Amino acid sequence: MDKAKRYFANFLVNVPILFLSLTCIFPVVWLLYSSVKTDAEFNISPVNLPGKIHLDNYVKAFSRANFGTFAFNSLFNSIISLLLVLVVSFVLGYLLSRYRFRGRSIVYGVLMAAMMVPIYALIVPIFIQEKKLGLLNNYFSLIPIYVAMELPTSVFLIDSYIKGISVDLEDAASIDGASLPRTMFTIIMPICRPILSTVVILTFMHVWNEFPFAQVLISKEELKTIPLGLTYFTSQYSTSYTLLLAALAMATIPVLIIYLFFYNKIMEGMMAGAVKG
Amino acid sequence: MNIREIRNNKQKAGIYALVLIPFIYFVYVMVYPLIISIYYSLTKWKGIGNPKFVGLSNYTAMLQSSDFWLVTKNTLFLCVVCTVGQVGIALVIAFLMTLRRLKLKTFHRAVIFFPVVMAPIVVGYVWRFIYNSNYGLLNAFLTAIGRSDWIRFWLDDQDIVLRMVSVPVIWQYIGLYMIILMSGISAIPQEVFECAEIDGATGFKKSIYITLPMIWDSLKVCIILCAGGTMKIYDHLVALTNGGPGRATESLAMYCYEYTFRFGNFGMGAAIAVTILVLALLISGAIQLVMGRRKD
Repeated sequence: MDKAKRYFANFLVNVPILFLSLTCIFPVVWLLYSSVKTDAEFNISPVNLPGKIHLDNYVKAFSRANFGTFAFNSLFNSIISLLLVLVVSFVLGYLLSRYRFRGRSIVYGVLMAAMMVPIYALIVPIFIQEKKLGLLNNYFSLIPIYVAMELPTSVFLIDSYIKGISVDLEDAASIDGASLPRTMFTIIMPICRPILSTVVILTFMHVWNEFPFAQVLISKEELKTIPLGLTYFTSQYSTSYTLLLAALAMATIPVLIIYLFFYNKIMEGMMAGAVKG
Repeated sequence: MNIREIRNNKQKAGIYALVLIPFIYFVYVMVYPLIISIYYSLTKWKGIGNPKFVGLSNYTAMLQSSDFWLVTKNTLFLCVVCTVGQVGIALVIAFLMTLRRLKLKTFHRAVIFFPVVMAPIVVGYVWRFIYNSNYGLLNAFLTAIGRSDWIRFWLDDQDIVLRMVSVPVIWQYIGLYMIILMSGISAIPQEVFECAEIDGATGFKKSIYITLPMIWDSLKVCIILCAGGTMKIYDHLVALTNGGPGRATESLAMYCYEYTFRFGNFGMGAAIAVTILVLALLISGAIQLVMGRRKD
């Protein structure tokens, strides 16, 4: 009787969570295997596994539907933004954490308050601003926005990490005559590598997935990013489901790979960003 | 404290320059538009020429339009449903994750969190496949378990569509709140639980009387994040239904987009944007007030 009760409790705890886990993973797995089916196979049954792997959809996405351009733009935006975020947030985070100067708390306060503001409320004014400056439909339409968007979390992460590092190394370096930039970039930056990689991953994910700003600020075909390209796919190729699935899979695969490799860093960053958000 | 002294005026100038250049840039991109949009919301402007000051007439026109109330109702509905769904389910899972009975914890954690990093627009499209009436996974599943009479036009039925679109949003973010709550739980000192066990508290009672009060702050953060996040819901809805059928699943953010870029009414668009902002701040303030008081 006692044993039966224990089995029942085990069942009650394990099964619902297992069910949730499966519903979380199944759509992704389904997306990946359905994207290598042919349309005919997909029409017969959307659930069955493909008979054989059929990469035609991927080829078609690149050759017919400009997917290469979309991917290049997403990559371009992500890489430039994350380089800028990395340097700017490191410098800001370092200085805010190490030095006390007049106005420091204002800078800090504004950055933290900005994390609370739903930035999508800014889309219209930002559009107007970029229109005035002639920045719409440009390779650099999105990057300035993304950099600003990512700054608060990154500065916050770096600032709290540097707080935990002793100043001894820097003091020794300055006795040896190292300048401030030199101390910052050659001594502290390497120590901060763990937190910097968190910043890099978070920034990459956000920029790669970002949609509303891209939709508003970009209308030229050759500048569109992957999320924008996906909306174009659905309207243009609405009859070929597997082609759309291949495009969705390609938007997800980079994120999936990064997730598998940097699982812990992502968790850490999301948590720190969220808890202080 | 790990603080360094500023050595001389030259260094001071250098620090100010390095802090102020990015800071001014940040203010210009993120704070200035906020202020300017309040001004635009008081004008009549088509995007070209000079904005004409019209006082509060955008706001009165907005409040008189029934569409505005409909999308506000949609947004608030999603906000409540998603907050209760996401944080509620996440809380239950976070509690279950503390139990020794639960197997495969690492697997569950990794898998449930994965949707969080997916692009919302991709999630929207994937779920559109799940809901599709001809080849959708949901209908295939219902047929397989012999309940084909439950099959509906999931995304075309006015009455259920709003509930249907909330499911993917809840599904996507359970993981995020689960992780925040789990880290809250793991920060509780182990002795507290040991004392409670000596006093005879069982699993369920431990969760309600000890864990819950001790993670109250994390819970508050979750609810604020979630409510604030759902107020600006946009990507999912664009991919799932594009607001349809009619305006049955249109959110405030989509309404704002529509006015600004489809109708070219920038003044009205700005007024809606300001409204979203005010509503989001009000809601997070209200949550803080309600939950802060109950803390002790």
